[in-house]
Amino acid sequence: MKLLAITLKDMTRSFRSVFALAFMFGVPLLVTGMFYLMFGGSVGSEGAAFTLPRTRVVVADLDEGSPYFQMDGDNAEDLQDMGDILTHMLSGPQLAELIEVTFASDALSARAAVDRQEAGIALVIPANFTRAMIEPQAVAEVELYHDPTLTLSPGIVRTLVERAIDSAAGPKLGLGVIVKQMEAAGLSPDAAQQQSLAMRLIGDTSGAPAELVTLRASEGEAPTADPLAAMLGLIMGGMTVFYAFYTGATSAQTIMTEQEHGTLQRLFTTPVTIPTVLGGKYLATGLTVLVQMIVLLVCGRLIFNIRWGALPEVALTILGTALVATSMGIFLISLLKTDKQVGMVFGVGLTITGMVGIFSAFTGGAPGASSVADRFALFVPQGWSMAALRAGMDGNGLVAVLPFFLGMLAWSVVFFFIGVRRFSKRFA
Amino acid sequence: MKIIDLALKDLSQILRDWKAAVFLLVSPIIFTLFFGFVFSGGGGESDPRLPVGLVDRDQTSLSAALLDLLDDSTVIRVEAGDDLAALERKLAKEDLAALVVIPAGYGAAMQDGAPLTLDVTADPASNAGMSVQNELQGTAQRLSNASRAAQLSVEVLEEQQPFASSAAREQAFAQALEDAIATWQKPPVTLSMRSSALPAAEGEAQLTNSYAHSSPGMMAQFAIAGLIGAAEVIVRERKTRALQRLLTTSISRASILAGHYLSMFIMIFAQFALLIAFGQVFLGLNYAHDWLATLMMALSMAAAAAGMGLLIGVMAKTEEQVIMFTLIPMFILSGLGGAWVPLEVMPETVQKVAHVSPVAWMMDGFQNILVRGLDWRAALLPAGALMAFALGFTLLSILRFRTVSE
Repeated sequence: MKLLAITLKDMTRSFRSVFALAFMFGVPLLVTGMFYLMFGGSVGSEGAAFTLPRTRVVVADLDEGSPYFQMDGDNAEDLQDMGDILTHMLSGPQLAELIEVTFASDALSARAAVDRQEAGIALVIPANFTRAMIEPQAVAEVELYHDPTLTLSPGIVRTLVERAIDSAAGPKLGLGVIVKQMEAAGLSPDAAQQQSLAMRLIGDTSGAPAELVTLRASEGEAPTADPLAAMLGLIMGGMTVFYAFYTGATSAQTIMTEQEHGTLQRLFTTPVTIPTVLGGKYLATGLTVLVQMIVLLVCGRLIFNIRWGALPEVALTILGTALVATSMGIFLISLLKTDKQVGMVFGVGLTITGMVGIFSAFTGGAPGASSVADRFALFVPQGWSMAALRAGMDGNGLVAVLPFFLGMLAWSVVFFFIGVRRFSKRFA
Repeated sequence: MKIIDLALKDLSQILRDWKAAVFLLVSPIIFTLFFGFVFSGGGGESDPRLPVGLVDRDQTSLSAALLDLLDDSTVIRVEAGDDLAALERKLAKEDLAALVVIPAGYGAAMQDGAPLTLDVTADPASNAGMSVQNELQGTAQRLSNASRAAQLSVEVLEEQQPFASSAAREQAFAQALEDAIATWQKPPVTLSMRSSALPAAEGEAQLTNSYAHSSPGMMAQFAIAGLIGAAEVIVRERKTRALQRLLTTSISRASILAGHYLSMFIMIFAQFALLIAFGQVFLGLNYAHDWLATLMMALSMAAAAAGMGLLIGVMAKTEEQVIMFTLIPMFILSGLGGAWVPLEVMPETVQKVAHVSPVAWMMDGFQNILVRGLDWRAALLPAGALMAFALGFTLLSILRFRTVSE
């Protein structure tokens, strides 16, 4: 009964404090909200998706065409050469959300626009571009000049241009192959025959290229219907874990504060035992973390549409995190002698371990980064909590979450016994 | 002189504890290495291409040709195998970025002009998944074009003189396909990529140095995180009523603030100097190619961070509030400012909004120096913006400090 009274008193104190409430709930929601605004989407939109920003591309189309180039169809007047076709494709409505095309009169001006950071990429189409596509021996080089700080967009524009070049050069390459085979068989095709073959090849390659790849998510992996929510899940999950451990430590700090104020010593003059006091404080801290996590995860689901996974997995993760965050808080506070040490121990102990533990929140989506980050994260208790949360989010089932829960339990036991032992010695 | 005495007193208070040095120096180094390591592709692999498992259920000349074409890819590295379950396990452990299955009948369907699709398993939302998909689409398209040319070649030959047997026809197709693939590997129009980095940055080497982003990013983040200890000194001074005692002496409020500001500025600048030296010596970052530019950036960011620290110190009433007032801006300003993820991947509006964070300006300045190889002139605008932040934070601190009770 006394244990419960201590628990209730500490919890009331925690939830009365505006500072504690802001730290427990305000900051994780604020940070997630900031990322939500940063990456687009509107509240409640199911289809909100992660999109790359538009890249500014400045094109210097120096193509002089070729007398052999002929263009039929609706755009024939506008498209005088292959350079026109390429720029028409790049500035068309299909790519409007990906790239923003402007034009420069020459290569130097285009490169200068990149140097001045007015554009991210300069595309220089050479004078002999069309001739290289049509005439047998002609070759050309398209230049892609880019800002070195850009990591994704040059690759995207390169893929687009390469596909266009492949498509345009296809008939010439195909014709070369056919002529070679015919010559090897002792046949020599005349110009008319070559023209006819070229037209057949052009007919084959015209139109939108067929989809030759089917991409699907791996089994067991929840389909990422809402990539924005998936990304926010990592961020909010990380913030929830990070601040759960802070709550564990700040709630446990009441032991030291009461000791400094002398109220703890007064309490020990009553029939209340040391284990009852510590038990009450442990329970208060654990329940506070529990409430914090439940509120944050529910808010994440309601506000940001984050799918945390099935209830048993989430429940196990919350329980494990509450246990380990509380035990770590007791352990950290047992290392301190005065309030003055709080800042550094919280800074070093919680900020560093917290950042290592939630590293996957920062690396989400970076090729090759996640697996390395996940391995490093398991060196700290926050990493186990984050791993459990992610296993639940990935829909891998209770079996996948259980090892991480047991890991958290092991951390809890170690922290708890060291912490309690130190306090027992101190108060003996 | 009193200002310097106060600054020295603060510094001795902050650095008395060895854990402070660990926090201010070792943690940014660890996180710089960590971020740089994982964003370089991680795992210490010598081949930076994305590892992709592949099962060939077709086993024809066309599926073999696809493998040959993929061998030359600059984006993916194929790990071919027969055991699909084993490759799926590797994919689940994220040892592979994707898993590709060439379906049975792939070659025959391509020869018939109705190619089957490659079955790719990957995270469709990830950059890796999208990169693999794009690369495979481009390569399969090339193979399809080559196959079409070979098929047409065989048809033309057949029109002139029918083949003696189906084996002879197959052989003619295989020869034409081989020629077509060889031709496709030497296209008439090539694409060259060149960055605008100046030789002063030692050119291309910096482009592949992932620490060029993580080093200034972590410097900025831990400059803010390090304010906990410094701002606590100010709070403690008030709580212990040392401030009130100080105010009874001849020292002015302005001098007290200047002393605190100076200590924070020295601490952060020293932190930057050591981290820049570490980056230069151990991470291969060329901070030294224009020392003036690097100095301008370090000084201006130290001034801005010190101003922020001063504001935190005068606003917070307790040590707990110092932690909160420090950690919130640390996460928000670092995340928004591009310390973790380059601003390049954020929407255009956000890229502009991001510059409400001093971290974004610091990243701009150091990217100009380290990646673009520009000189001090490219540091003028970012350094100027940081000085404006410094001024703003300091003015707010002065206004707030006026109302602090004696």
